[in-house]
Amino acid sequence: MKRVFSQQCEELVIKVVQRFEHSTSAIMSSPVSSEQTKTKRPSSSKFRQQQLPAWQPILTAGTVLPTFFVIGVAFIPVGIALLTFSGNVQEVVKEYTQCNSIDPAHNNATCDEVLSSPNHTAATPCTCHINFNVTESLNGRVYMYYGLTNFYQNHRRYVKSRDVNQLMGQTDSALSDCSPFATADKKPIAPCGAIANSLFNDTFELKMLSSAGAELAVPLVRTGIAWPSDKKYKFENPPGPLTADGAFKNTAKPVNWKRAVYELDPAHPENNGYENEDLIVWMRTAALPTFRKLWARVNESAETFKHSLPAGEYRIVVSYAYPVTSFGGTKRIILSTTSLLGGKNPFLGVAYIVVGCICLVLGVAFLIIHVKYGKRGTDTITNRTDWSGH
Amino acid sequence: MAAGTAAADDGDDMETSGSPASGQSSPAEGNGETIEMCRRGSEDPEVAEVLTRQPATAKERLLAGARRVFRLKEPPPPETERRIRANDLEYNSQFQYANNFIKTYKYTVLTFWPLNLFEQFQRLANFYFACLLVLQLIGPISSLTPITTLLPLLGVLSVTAAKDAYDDYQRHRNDRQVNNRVSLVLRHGKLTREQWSNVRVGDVIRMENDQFVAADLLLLSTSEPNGLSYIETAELDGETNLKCRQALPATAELGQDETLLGKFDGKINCEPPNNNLNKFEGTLEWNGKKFALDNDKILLRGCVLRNTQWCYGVVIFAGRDTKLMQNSGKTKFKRTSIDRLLNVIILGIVGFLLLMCLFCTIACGIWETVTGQYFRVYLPWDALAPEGATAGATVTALLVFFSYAIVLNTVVPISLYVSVEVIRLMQSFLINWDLAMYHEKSDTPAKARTTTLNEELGQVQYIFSDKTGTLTQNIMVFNKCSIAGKNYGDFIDPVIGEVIEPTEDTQAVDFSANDMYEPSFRFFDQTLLDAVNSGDEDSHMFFRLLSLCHTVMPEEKDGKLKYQAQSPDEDALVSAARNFGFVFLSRTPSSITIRTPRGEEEHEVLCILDFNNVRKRMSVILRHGGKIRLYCKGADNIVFERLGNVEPETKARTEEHLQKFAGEGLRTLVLAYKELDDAYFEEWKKRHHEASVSLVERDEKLDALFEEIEKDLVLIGATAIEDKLQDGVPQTIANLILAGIRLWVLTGDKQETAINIGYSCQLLTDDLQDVFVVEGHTMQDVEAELNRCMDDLSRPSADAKAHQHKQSLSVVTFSDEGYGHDTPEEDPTSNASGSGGFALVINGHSLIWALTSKLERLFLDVACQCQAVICCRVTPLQKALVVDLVKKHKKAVTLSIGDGANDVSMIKTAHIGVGISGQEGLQAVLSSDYSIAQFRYLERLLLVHGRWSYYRMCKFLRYFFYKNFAFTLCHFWYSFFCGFSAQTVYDVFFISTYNLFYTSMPVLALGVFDQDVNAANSRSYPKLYTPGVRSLGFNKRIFVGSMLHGAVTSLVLFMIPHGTYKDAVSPEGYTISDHQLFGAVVATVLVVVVTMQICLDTTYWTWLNHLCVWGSLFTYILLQFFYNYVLGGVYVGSLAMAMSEANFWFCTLLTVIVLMVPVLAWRFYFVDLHPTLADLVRAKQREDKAQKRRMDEFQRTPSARRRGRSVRSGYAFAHQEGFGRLITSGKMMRRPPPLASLSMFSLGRSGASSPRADTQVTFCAEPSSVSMGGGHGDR
Repeated sequence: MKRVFSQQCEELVIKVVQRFEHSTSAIMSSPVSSEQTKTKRPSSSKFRQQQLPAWQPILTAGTVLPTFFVIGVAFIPVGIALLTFSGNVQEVVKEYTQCNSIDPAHNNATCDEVLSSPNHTAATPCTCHINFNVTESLNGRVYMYYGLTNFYQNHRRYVKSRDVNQLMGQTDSALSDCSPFATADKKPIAPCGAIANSLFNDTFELKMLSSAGAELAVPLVRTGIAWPSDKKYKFENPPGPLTADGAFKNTAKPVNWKRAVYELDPAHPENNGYENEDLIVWMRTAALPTFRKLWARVNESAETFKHSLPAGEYRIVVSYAYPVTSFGGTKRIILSTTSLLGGKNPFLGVAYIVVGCICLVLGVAFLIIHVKYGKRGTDTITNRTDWSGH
Repeated sequence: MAAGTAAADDGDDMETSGSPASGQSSPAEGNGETIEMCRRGSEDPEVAEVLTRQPATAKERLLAGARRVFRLKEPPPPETERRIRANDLEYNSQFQYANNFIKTYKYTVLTFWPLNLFEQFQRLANFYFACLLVLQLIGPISSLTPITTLLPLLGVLSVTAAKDAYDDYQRHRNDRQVNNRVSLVLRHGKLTREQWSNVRVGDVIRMENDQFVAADLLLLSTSEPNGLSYIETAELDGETNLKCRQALPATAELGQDETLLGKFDGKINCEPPNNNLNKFEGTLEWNGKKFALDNDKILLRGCVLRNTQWCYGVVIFAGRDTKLMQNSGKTKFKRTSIDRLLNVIILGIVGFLLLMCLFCTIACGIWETVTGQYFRVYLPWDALAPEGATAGATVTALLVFFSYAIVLNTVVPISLYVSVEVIRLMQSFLINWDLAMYHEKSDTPAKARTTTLNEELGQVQYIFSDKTGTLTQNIMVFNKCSIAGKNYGDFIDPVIGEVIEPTEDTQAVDFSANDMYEPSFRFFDQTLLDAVNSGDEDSHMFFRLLSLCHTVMPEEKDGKLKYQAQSPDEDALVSAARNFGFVFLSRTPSSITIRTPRGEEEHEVLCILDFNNVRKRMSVILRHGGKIRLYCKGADNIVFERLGNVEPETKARTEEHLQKFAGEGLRTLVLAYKELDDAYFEEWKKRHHEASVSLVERDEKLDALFEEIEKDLVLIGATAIEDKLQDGVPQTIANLILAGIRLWVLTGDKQETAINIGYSCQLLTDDLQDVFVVEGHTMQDVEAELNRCMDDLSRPSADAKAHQHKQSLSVVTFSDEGYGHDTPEEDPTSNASGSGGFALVINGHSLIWALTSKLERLFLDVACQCQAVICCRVTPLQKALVVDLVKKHKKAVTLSIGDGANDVSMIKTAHIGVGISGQEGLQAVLSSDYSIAQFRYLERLLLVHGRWSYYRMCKFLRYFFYKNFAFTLCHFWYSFFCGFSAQTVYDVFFISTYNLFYTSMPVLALGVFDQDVNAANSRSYPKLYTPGVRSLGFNKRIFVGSMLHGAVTSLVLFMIPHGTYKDAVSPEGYTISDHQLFGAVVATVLVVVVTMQICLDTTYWTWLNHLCVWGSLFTYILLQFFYNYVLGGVYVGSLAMAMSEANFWFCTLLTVIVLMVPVLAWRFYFVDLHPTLADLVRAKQREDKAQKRRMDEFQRTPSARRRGRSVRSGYAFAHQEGFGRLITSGKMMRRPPPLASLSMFSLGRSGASSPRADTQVTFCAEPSSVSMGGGHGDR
């Protein structure tokens, strides 16, 4: 391959270079005079003679040491700022994997046990309450996330188990990657694949408890939670009304689902079917086995929650339907505000401070080394005999 | 050897072109090992085709097998003997000999695709990627879509196929052109025009002047007397001299009588087709008589008929059986040491890859058992995996092995090979384009004939150089002389009154008063001409002798007198005499006519006592004006021994002059004469006649007679001839030696000549402790001599230490000089690094034994400890053997440089072959890898281009492996988070294009343009070359370093985004911790990081580098958006989302800084505390640039100006036995000369001026019993 390739490029390169030189010779004003006389004298263009003007940077103490100091000096304040931003984000995390069913019939068993009990029917979800106290009001917009751990949304077989074209509304897609969730009852599953099939289906209600014991429902918005680009480019319902006979004619619902895809949000047609934002959020598979996904936003238009989630007692009513304990997973519910930089994450801030410090230390160390032992290049050029390099 | 045979008259022994010793004593001669010669040409498309053909490798043989399958035709069984009956088609057709149809093409339209693909997939890389492709097509294990491999593979395959198709189309065209050439064939007693392809074995064909010979022919008859014909074999072996071929006298009588020729029914039995150009054996049976056939009667395809109006011949070998075709494609494909290292490394990488896969397999098995099997509620196992927990986990894990093999395969990317080739190709162009290696006079640029060896030019440790035509110009110049104890020839500067070296501009003595003077002759001492003009008897005697005592042939060309001499030395001497007014005009077998300032003289030639290597002298006995005189010229010691009573003072002064000449590297001859008594001469002549007709011990008897008469000579003086070195040879050699390269001179010359040249080109210096001479004739002798050398070498003497010290000191001095600063207190003459060491001179006949398996190690040990090695009187085969010996036992890169056919073997054997172009013979150039016009360009080729190529290639490879490990290992780190499921981090599109678009251009630009030190400094500081010799630029250690660097980079690249995007949300609350966004971020940061790394690596930023570097980043962004938004990639929106967040930018900056700062610190540490020479020179370069300081070039002081010069003889004569016997025997075949006054001769070649085919008359010298070299003299 090597030899042949070199040959095959030869003519091409000559041509390209000639053309290139022709076009640039005017700019570089190289004397290409001997074109007419037929000598074999090579052109004296700077390009061919490897004498193109060039910047030749050298690592010297004068450039390297200031670099270290500049990085050090710049990174530490940036790190502090990042830490501050991260610290300003308020977050309430409640794990509820083992929450107890509020149904007296369940005898104070955990919802997880209820789900796994043999006489449990899917039609009646287990409900449980998460009560918590918000000591400081969550200022700004508040988002509600659900979090899963040990859930391998990034497993190769899981990630590929979807049909991009189907989700774009093409009804004749082959669904080849969706196996074994491609068909049910010889009808194509809509949406097919393991990702859709495992759609997270716990639902939550957030309530503010007044001291009197009254419950004030916090208005939650289930739209605007998916990426606009996803909604725009990746998900589209097939043509027709979103009914069993319309757009989703001759399709089966995913085996794990209780409702068909067109029943995800019948009240809001623009949030129904493949375009359902909850589905879209779920379909954007997580990078890591521990992840959180946006479930709802606190509606800011409501008077009480206009700018914050005030401090107080809250209760989340969980409709617990999604089993995770069988594979060692956990579920969380997270209420969080955001900063300019997003959520709470001290990593960047700490990293910036550490790197800044290291650079300062390096700078100082090299400064000492340089002053004490550093060799001025030209002083030593004559004093060594072994120039073999290191 | 051949002298005794009937065909003694032809002179084509010149074509053997070997050194004098060839064929006489080489032990390997008998075992059938022939020196492979290059038979290529340029004029003839057919020959040119042979030239470009790929080597016959095992693959090609396989391919041939495949071809057979396609054609379902079995080749005929191998011939053992060829039997032909001329003009008998029926008889000949029973043997199914190949006809004259030439087929060099490989494919037809139908067979192109299967054959070409078959061929391409035999290449390991293609095969590897084809296997990957197949793996990717298997659904359950395919972790990447097949496109990632398919696209690049298709690209490489189709480009290669296109090139192959184009080449084959050219071959088709050439074949058609050659096959359609018209030849005159005798059919049924009539000449008919036939295409070449229709010529069959046994046909009688007619050739005309200047035609290409259509097939290998047995010469029947020619237009010239005695059945002679002349051919030029330049296309076959590169030699431009004419050779003559002679038909059998019996067949020569056939003339051009077509009926007779048509009835010619000779039966020819001969050898089967073979590739030996210089041998042919067979017999011709005709008219009941049997004739022996040898090579002298054969015309080979590819030759051109010259100076012969027509000739007839019987086709013996046609088409693919011709010697030309049999010789095609034997070139060994050379690979560089980096290539070999790369192969090892790639095997290592594959091993590493498999290890990673194995690790992932085991880890996957564990994960599936611990977690995966419970996660089946959401992600069932693959259909292939059985239900049972253990079994299912096992099967899944096994499948993952292959999946990871696919995912991680990019550690060995296709683009490595392609990129390496592109870089080498560009570097080759840069060599071709270099003005500094363009020779203005001969209009010859340097040429990289292979594009695969460039970086090896930066690693050369041993140079094997030919002498004549390589180190020297093969031009002898009459430079100085000593006449009757007076020294002439020094040029005294009129201003300062001191002897100085004349330069190009120096005013030479004006000879134009003499109408026969040659303008090219330059002499700088007016006093000599004055002496001649004033009638000084001594100087007249001196030049008379020079004009008489020689075996030169005069010739008239364009109305001017030209000389054809056996050796350039003779030519120089006779020309000198001519310019000083003693013009040698003409000679007949019995007379010599000269013109002296006193008028024309005709001398009767009584006897020529010719030159040979034992006698080391030649004499002529002439009668003129009733006086018989013997004129003698010869080696100083030989002639001095034979002097009669000479004034001691003259003798002493002549000796002194001789030493001076020798010290200046001039070749000397001593001239003497003697008056002979008539009676004595008559008596001697009688005895001479008796001896010359005696059948036993003829030579011995003659020698004794010669010895008898050549005594009591009268000393005339001495000549000093300069064997002109090519320009800049001493400086080049000095610099190459300083660069740590060892130079061996391998020459066919005699020992004296070789040593002489060794001194004049500074390979040998008087500072050497000792020059060992090995000249034993038996194994015992050689062994003893070598052991003695070894003892001397290994004696840990005090002076060896002193030498060590001196050597290091010398480098200091040199550096100072190169630095251009003022350190004049150091004596500049002591700064040659050659001081103190040893040198070895070994003779060809000793080399025979030194190269036997018993002694070769000893020889090598001795030779490699010597500063310089000169092998003299070596045959071409021995040259190759010496190179091979070093190649085999030393892990060093060897380079051979030469200009002649006798260098071809060593050029082909060495790692790198360099041919001197612009000379006559093409042969060395055609078999070389690089051709340069002058030896001195070798310095630039190695120290600048070689060094740069090596430097660039090493940097390229270091970076290339780094970037691929950084790229690929992210998948490995990710496997810990994705259940070892072979999920990729990046988009498939990114994986396919990473190497192709985003990271290839900057590193290619680096590989082509980067220079750490500029060209001038590369030469000023030859020590910069040594890292290449020691392979310090790229070796396994460095590779592991790059790999670790890449691995660490990938880890950081993975972990920082991991930390940043774990549970990350955007300010709008969107979750941005998804897999696609994460992949897009890692990919982007990766591209930025590797681009920053190349920025750190690039030391020479031309605008092209800027374009490539910043263009790559831009291309990345552009292609990402184009692909995702226009072509509908699944990652659509991910990168845009990431880039709209501040997190992304902080993350990118952090990663770049975290990865670059350690590199910066590491490099700064070494530059600051342990700088390499290159670092220092770079720093200095910058200072110089600021101060615009000019660098002085280093020069070694020539040995002539040295003190304490050794006493040695400067005798050297390129001459082999001359034409003496031939002249006296009168055996010259010639036509009536067009100018009656001048006999015209044209020898094969002589000196620098080569009579080409346009010469009218051809003279065939009798093959002498000693000279194999013939006209080639010392080569």
